[in-house]
Amino acid sequence: MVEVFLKIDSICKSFGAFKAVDGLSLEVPAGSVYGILGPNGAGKTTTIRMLLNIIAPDSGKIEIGGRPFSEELKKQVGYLPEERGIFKKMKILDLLGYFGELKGLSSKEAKQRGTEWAERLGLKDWLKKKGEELSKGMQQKIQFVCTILHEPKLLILDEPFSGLDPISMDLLKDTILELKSKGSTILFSTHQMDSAERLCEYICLINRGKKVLDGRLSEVKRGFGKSSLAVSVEGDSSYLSSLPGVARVDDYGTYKEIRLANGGNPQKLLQEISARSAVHRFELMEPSLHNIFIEAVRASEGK
Amino acid sequence: MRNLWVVTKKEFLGMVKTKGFVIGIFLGPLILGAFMFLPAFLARKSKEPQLKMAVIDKSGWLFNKLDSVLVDTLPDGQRAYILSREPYRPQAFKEDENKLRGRVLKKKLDAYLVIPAGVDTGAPPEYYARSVGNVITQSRLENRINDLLVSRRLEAQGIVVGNLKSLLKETEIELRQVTEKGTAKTSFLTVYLTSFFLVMILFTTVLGYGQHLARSIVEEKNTRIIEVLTSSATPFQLLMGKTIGLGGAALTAVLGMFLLGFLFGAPLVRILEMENIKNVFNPVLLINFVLYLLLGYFLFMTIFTILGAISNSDQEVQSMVAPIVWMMILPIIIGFLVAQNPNAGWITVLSLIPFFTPTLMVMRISYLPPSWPELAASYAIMFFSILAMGWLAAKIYRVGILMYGKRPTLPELARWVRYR
Repeated sequence: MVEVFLKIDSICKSFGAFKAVDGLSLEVPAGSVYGILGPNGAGKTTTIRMLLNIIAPDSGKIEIGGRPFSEELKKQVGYLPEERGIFKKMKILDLLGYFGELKGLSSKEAKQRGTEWAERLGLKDWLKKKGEELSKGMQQKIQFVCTILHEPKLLILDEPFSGLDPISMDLLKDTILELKSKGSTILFSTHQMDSAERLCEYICLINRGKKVLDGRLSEVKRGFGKSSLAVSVEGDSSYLSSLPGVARVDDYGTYKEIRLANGGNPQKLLQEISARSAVHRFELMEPSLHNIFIEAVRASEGK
Repeated sequence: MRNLWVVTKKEFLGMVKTKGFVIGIFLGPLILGAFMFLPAFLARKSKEPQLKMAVIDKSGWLFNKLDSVLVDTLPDGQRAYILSREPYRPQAFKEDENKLRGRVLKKKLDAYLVIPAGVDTGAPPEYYARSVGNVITQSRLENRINDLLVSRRLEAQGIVVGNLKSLLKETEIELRQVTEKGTAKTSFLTVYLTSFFLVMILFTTVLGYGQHLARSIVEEKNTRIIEVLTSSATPFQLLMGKTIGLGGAALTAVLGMFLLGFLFGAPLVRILEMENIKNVFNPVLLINFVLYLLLGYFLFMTIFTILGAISNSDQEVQSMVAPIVWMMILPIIIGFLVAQNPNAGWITVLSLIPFFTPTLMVMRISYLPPSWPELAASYAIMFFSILAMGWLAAKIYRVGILMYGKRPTLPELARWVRYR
């Protein structure tokens, strides 16, 4: 039995007639990397804001470490919002000191830790500069440092990978995994399935404010069975989607993922394909998170 | 509490450390001093040059008399006016006048005066000069010629007057303000300028810091820093920290200005013998000024908070500042009426409306302090208005900082206030 660190119990939030979050429940195991996935407007940011007590749910309960949320708990939480920025006129070192102090560190301690991080990220020479003098990439790094200065027990990241260059993206992933190894629980929202697939142990799919499915990523995938095919053929392959037994085709460049329709027979399909082109690759596999996501969302909308 | 302190400290230092803040402290007293002392200073020091004036006397009798009474001297003891008589030739008058005009233009002469034949029956003398802005010369000429005309008319009636000056001696009323501590010599201009400048300090401080507050709220909104901040502290702590921190900076600036003004102003007051300024800048006025400044600051900050919370850009803030400026400027516009009757019924009523209280009360106190119950009432009304407005602003701020895009309508604002 895994220890649950963050527990959300049927929370609801409406803005006027619009139900942003509708009876959402989820359990985040301690020390895990947990992804909240969903299309734009699914209610991810609203959920995160309720987690942080920035807005109050209309109904439902949220517990962190077995206790209801309190202002004191904020000191154990680090939060990186989706859109980012730092104070234009404030010196970077002062900024690090300010955010660290708000999280309960002394100004001195915060600045010292901030300097260490800046050294690690190659930003040491920028500590005395004002925010507006930094490039966008540097600003993002500094903001991320602000989020983790106090080594939070719970790190909440809203769309952390949007707008990052590959180097920053790797840096972020490394840091997330480092914090996890130190015992932090990490929760992030994203609609980028590939990054979620590589990082998350647990996922929760939400759509229109409701949970579609959740659980350990490997189990979720297993639940969908080996109902996908990775196929690579020579020459034109546009006919694939019109073959009997094929539900949909996704092009990944070097190969195509074929989702089998209910009752679709892989052996029959192989015969059909080999009759038309030379086959380089034909492999049964678990569906990608991307496809699981699309199917789950469609199913939840009754399509 | 710790968060409140951290935010307050950051906002205070962020303001105080700027160059503009330090410059402002020096600039304030400098401008104020320039306005208050410069006229007195200049009047004392300015060198009046000797004025050469030609006179064409068509009346025939006035020139000699005028020459004998226009004996004002310059500080160095020389005569201020050198008069020279030009003969009056009726047939060649135009020609003569043209010559004089030429001499004036060539700066051989400073001016020429044409005295008409009927000057004693009301025809006006004409004064020609390159500059006609010399009001002192104008008033001296008018006074002396008038005296001479009055003497001549009296003589025509058979009344001979030895010394007209002593006969027509006028008096001036000296103003002495009655205060708790007795009477103090003062002048209307000093009181008026003092109240005006105190009000200007109040006005610029509140407006300047208010706009700064609104802009900084918008900045935190636009950069989404506010979301990080609210994951660390409550919106109320953030707002209070901001308001108190900036308020501390504002108070520091004003006290700094007073200190500088005192250090540099006191010697000037002694040198220029403007002792009555001391009577105007009395402790009662100054203490009340600081209190009204603080209360006015907090009251207007609530409005600027709402303004920032519902705006998405500096431009949006700017477009809504004008009505606030008008609210603060109204008392300055009616300043003259306040000066005439500081305790008129309608002024009393206006000065109890919280948004007008600080400026109007500072004006009233500098002319004629209102009764203690009235002062107490104004403080109480200000205090409770700040609580009520502060509550409203905090509610709107809490929601507004997370809302982007369109500015809310009034019904939407009302809904924000009701959010849990």
